[in-house]
Amino acid sequence: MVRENEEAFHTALYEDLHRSRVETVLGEFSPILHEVVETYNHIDEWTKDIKPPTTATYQVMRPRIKPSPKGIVLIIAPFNYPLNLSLTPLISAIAAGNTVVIKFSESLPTVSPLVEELIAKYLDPDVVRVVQGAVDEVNELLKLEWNHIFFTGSTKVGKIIATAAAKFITPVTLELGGKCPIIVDPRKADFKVIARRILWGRTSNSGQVCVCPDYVLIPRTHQRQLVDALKEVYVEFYPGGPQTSDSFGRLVNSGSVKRITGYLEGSKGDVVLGGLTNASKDGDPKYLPPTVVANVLGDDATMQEEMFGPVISIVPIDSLDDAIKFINDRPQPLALYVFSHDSEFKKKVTRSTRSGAIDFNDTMTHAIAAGLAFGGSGNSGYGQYHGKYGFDTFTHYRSSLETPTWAEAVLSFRYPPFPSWKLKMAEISLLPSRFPFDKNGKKTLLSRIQSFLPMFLVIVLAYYYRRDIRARSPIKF
Amino acid sequence: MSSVKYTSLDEIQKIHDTLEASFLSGRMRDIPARKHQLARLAYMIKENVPAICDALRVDMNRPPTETVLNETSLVVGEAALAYSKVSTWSKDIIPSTLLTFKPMRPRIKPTPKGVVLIISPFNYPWLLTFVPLIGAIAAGNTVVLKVPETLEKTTPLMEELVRKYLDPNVVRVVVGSVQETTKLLQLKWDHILFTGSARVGHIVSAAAAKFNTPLTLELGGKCPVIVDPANANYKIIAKRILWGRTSNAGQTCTAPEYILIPRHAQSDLAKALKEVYATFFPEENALPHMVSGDATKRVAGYLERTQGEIVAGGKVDIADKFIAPTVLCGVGGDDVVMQDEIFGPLLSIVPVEDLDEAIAFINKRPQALAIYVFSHDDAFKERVTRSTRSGAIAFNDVVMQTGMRGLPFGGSGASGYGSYKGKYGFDTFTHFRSSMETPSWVEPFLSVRYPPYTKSKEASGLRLVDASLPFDNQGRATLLSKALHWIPHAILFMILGYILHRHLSTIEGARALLPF
Repeated sequence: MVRENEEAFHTALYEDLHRSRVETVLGEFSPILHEVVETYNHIDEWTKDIKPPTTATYQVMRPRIKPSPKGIVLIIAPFNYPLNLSLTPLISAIAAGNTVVIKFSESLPTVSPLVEELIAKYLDPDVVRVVQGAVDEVNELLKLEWNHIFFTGSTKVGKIIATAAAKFITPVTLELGGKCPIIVDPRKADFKVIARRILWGRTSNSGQVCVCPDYVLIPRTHQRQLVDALKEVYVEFYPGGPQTSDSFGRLVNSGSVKRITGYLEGSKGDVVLGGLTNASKDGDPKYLPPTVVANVLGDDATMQEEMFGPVISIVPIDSLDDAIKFINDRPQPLALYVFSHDSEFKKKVTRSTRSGAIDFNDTMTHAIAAGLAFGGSGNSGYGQYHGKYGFDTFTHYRSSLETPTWAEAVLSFRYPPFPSWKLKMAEISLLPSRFPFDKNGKKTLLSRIQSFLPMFLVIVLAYYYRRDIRARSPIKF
Repeated sequence: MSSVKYTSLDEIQKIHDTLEASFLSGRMRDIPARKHQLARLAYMIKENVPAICDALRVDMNRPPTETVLNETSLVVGEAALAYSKVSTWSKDIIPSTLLTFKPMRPRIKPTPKGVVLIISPFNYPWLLTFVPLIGAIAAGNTVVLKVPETLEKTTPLMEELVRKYLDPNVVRVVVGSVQETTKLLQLKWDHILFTGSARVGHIVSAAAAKFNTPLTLELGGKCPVIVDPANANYKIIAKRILWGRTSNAGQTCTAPEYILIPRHAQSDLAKALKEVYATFFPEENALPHMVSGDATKRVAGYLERTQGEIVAGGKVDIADKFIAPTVLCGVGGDDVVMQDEIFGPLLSIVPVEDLDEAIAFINKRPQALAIYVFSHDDAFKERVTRSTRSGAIAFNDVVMQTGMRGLPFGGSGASGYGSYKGKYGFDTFTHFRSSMETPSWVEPFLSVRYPPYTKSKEASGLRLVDASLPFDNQGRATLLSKALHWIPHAILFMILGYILHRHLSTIEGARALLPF
């Protein structure tokens, strides 16, 4: 369905989001197709019963874990990557054996009907169905009972979904958003490369990516260097200016434009690139140029909510500790980006912060790499998908065991009545006389010897065996 | 009214803030710190088994053997397992990924979520508090335990032991009822694990939704048993079911509540249950009691109003909080005992026509924590497995999956979501943080993603990330993909064959292979 209709998708996405073809290939087709291939190749393995490791006594009861479909699931997809964020979870849901309802975004007048039409044409209507609509339709959907709800969207709506799901004890995956910070370590930094990676991250899809970098934390002394580098890269990216470039997208609707305009107007930072004065609106109401605002403070208008537009704020700080505190004072982001070549620096940020994901020396890459778990933490959501993580999301791992009849002789120990000898026997057989660790959590000498013993015996035996063979053999070798 | 002292609301706020600060200080990041707590938890139980058994005997008249079998030994086992595995579990994962992404060092780092809340019920207080705690500590979180408040001796004992053995900057206990729980739910947690009734489960998830807090809900339901009369050994079936139903006076979330059996076999099963009943319960005073007067009244009410026939037991003593294990026969689908989870020692036999009716009966009702099937016919077992949904499914036994090492414990549908025990407990309280690192030297390859997007960029970009589909549009594997799958095996075979050929063609070569 995806491969045979690439042209139609390109056209529709250009129509609704002014999205360039390369972005669509990298951000939509490629991840979806890789997800399908990965799932197709592994589905037999993933759906097999699992034999968990267990104690010898329990083995006779054949413990197994059976991956089972949850039932009927609801996927609510947003507007920014309408194909990736609907079809990728769909792939996992189908692989897990569920039936699926997808609700597409109401803000895409060309893309949403197109996908609906193609799904009806290619996929079994008893397995996958599409619902179109806005708030009212979503409320109707939330009145029904689902076995899992997969939601990608804003934190505000995420709370509504989770509250509705609570009524039916429905498990939920929330892929929300947040302001993704970048920390730049200026030592040995190649500012050109950094600027390129940051600007690419911020301007993809006109800044409407949940894992877009939102603001940069950089020492005051190097802010100028970064700004200069960004200006150079800006010209590289858009030689004729972004408005006439086919490589730069548009915001989804005028509401977005108004919102971001409001931030920029209220900002106390310095607009060093792009900005409102450079936006010519005639006939292009959804256009906003890539904009860089420097000298932004923590309480600036641009620092309140997720930007979801092509504006990046540079927040000068004085130390790494300041940067870490700045991040930790705010809700957990979907991703955190660190530009540094110092492994101590990177380790410190990793250990002192929490985020859905953390990338080094680049932005957004973890979202496209097949095999990584994609999801948020804290306010940016919970649950993950992509690859096996997606399969696991839509699967119920049903425990199972089978007790043979002959085990009754041993099992009858558990039945009442309970004379005191049973208690004594239970204590002796079930509670270990000693642990392989002491009360301070250190391994005991005895257990260290015990774990080394098998290897030691093998070495000794092998040595004597070899010596024996050599002595007995007439052939010298 | 219980004489147990509740934690004050101010204290609750302080506890949350202390543990949050403690988490952010990073003290639980290191594996030795986690192992320290796990070891102390293991000793905490092991060194106090007599006190634990004694307290439960006073609180619920539970036989000490039951406590050792069903609670303390399981907690100790899980603690020792977590101790030995926590290093492995918390290692960075190197996921399998496309060759193109490998230079970018994809990693998945297991990271603790933060400060978590575990709310546990009265029925297996040690098991349902400390096994989740083990998972939370192994994952590196700080934990607040809201322990059951209705156990006069056990609750203070739990508080005292936690205070004595575990680090107060890592684990704290909160005791309380509705008010205290409400206060806890007004605070922000990074994960909540709740074991209890569906009614309170709804309240917990509505509160968690406000903070987008991930949840694990271990609720209840009515666990059905399906008995296949073909080749049935009724004596053994009766023993296993009655044991499961009557342990802990029936106050077990995974206990079998009702049995579906063909009408013609009902009397055989009832007879076997009567016989086993006599051997299990020769004297009444060794039997566990209900936890409270209210619980006793509730179950006594069912007994009064049921239309089923009592074939064994039936004695009620409200003052003593005692309900005798009771078997009911001929119970219909709309009987009063078939409405809510009984959570008491009443076992109902519901006669049906055949397996179809049994499956339909189960599927009309909310999903339970477990379904139990007694049969020796694989087709029968497979049919039930495929046509029903439940937290777990066990064959020819009941309840054992709850304690069994290696199996996740959790529900599905109305019986809850999420699971824990062993690695599943660790995973529940862990955030798997993905990570990538882009080296500078890949910049030329990455240039395809930067604007301006020319036609040539489109083409080369496609080549880097394009996927060739190994199937046609009907889903059948293509010949090419099948061939590609076998090529590595074929090559390996040829190499092995060549080596063997070389070796076996000379005497010396053959001798060289001998010692192995």
